[in-house]
Amino acid sequence: MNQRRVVITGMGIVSPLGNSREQTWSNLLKGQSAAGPISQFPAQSWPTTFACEVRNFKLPTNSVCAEHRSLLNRPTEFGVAAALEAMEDSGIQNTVEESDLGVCIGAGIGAIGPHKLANLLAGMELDEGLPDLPRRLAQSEDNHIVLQNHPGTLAALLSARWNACGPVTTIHTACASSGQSIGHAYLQIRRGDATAVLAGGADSLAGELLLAGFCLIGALSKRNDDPKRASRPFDRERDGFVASEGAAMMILEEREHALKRGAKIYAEVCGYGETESAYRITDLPPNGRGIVEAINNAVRESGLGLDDIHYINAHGTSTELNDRIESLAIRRVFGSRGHKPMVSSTKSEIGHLISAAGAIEAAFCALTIRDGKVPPSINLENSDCGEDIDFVANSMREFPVHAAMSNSIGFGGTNTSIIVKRVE
Amino acid sequence: MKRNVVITGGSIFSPVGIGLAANVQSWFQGRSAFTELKPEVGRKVIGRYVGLCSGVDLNRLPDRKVQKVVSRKDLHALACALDAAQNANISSGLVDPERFGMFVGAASTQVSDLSPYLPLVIDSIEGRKISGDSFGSKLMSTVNPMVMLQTLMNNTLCYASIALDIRGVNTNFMDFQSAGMRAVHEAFQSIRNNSADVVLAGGMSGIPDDFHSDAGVRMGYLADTSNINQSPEKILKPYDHKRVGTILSETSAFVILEEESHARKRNAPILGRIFQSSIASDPGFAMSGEVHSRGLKASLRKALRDGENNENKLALLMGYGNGSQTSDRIELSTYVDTLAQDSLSTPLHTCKAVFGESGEAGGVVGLLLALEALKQKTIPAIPNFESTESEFSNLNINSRPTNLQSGRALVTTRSFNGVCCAVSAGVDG
Repeated sequence: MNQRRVVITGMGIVSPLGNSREQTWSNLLKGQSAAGPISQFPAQSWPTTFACEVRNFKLPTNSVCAEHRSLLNRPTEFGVAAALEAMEDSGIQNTVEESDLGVCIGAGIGAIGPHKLANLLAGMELDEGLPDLPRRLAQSEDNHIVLQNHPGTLAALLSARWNACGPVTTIHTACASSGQSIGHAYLQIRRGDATAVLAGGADSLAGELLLAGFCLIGALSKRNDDPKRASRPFDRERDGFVASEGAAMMILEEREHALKRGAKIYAEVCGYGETESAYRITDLPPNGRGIVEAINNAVRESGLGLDDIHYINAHGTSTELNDRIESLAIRRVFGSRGHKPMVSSTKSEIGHLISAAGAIEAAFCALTIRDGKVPPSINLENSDCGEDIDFVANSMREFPVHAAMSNSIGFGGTNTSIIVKRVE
Repeated sequence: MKRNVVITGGSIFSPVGIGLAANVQSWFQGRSAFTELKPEVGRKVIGRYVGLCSGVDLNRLPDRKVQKVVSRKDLHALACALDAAQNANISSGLVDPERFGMFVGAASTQVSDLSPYLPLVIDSIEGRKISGDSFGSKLMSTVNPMVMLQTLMNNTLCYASIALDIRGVNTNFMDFQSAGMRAVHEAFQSIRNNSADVVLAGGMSGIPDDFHSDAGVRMGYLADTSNINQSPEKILKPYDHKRVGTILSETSAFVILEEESHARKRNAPILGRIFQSSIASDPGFAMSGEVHSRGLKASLRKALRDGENNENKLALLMGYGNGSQTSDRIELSTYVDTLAQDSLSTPLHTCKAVFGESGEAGGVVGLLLALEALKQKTIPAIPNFESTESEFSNLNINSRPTNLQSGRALVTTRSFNGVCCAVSAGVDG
């Protein structure tokens, strides 16, 4: 394989902990929980009444051209805002040919928003019987519903905004989506398909229909009386994940190109592993198969020793199954050789951003390397996931992290592991 | 050492046939199978013809329980993917699972997938809003929990992986009409770069419904058949100057790509080989009004460069050509602008007059048919094509059955969100 190296030269974040990279990071290190009662719709009678929501967010005017404004929805607005911050942070614009600039996005399940649905259905005579939803939506003569709700639209908006004519890609593998978008951006640069790629993810679970889906399968925490203590990855009292929303974007760039233009470099992406568990749609193989191989593949490719990887940002969803099996997988790789990296799950504070989770957690790994500060897993009071894992529990830890790993495990069986390291 | 990539299996499930042989036959016969959408009483459907895939034997799926949790598009895609694997003589255990990958170009969640929520949504309306309280209090007792799993867009990837024990590289692309070819591109690159030895790759489009048909007509993409008094098989006129738009079609298509020595070692059938693949993009959306497609130009040029002067060996250009006025014009304009003078005489074909706009599966359909054409050294006429705009008249759009020289095929796709793919492929002998 081509030996091109890949670095991160810009990052942008919109999250329930802040509408910028540094605001999010600062609150994360403080151990703040972003969970609270759902504000986007009355949810008091729902099985789960709380989530992590982006607040006080407004996409700057003229972020996209007038023609494209009708194609924006909540998650794509987050994505555009995060991309704006990342691009400005990197200073990459006008330094790379349009044919060498790509976009690679992990995007969520598109769905027609519930209020638009309600507007279409309001005034209907219920004694007609159940209406045909597609027919009702078609009668709206709204030309944009299809594009607005398609996962591929955000990538197109971003490629239009920055004239990216390189590889433009949209990926959906549930919770592994943006772990894969970062990984595939890395591969594209390594292969020579692009010099720089705007990569990341955006999602929103805080609206009715999408939240309903996860309630139905019992994946969400029901700690309605104490939302800020609900997301508790690796803790014995965990009972499900906390829905969240937001976006994270980063600029991945070929290393020599970045050095030549004097770019600020957060970290180098040095390893990527991608596997399929081939087991069940939601369950994980009990022995951690799939996750173990993804981690091993990433480590092998990185050329690092296990003891160089000081920190793992775990997928750590706060579900009984994921946390137990993921910690087993970590032990199988690291513990079997006597290594004990620090482990935390930032989902404890920020919730689960689903398609955007992998990207935001990879960003946190890069920031960990930049600042030498490891974010904590909050609400971790009593773990049942093994005493031989060094959990960073409840408060931030200072350590000059050399390399950090971000894992993502998706419904449908896709597993990713990304390793970033300090650039010396 | 350079790793060669061959195609050892493939399948197409479409309105004109189930399985590769049936689809090839329909294509050579120029036989399409568009049917009329049945509108609701009192409602006029303006994009009223679609291509529906029927006759898929779901009882052949290894786990019949999956029929309860997966939507129609994924069931069809799963059956097609397994058929492709069977044609390649691949079964679970025959390939090292960790060196066996899968890439899918998937259709997005459809409106019809949300229909299990309908009764509850209606029941929860108060004034002009859905009452969140009402919705939430009745949710668990009203809606089938499986609806959430049905709306996952990577179901085909998941269930095919389980059936075939695929544990290697994998992903699920959502790049509109280029998604399936995008999957083939990634499969090719993965094998070339030694990340996999065998990869199942392909795409599927969703079931067309009147909502998508009407929306597509209003966007100027689909044929407005409300005022057309023609039989459906005559409506789709790709590349023709009288073209009126395209017709949505429900299709799945998959191929098995394999490293050549791995294929020969297990005596796999070899349908053809891929020399090069590439992706590039137009910035933004494909209907944006550019004269040429920068993405298509870049992907064409790169696909033609695989260490040899391939443009001289071009025997067939399998274009995208779906009969949409703007899309076809941009595509043809790009060919004129990009290809060398002596390559303009290469037969230019599109299969969409027979298959319709097959969405995410379209490129893979084109790839399999291109290989068949090279093997038979002939290509059928494009149905309904008489002549194109004068500015494209130097292109050799094959209006009649045409013999092919030995050489390679270039297969292209271009999607709504500007993603363009090109694959250079050929057959042995």
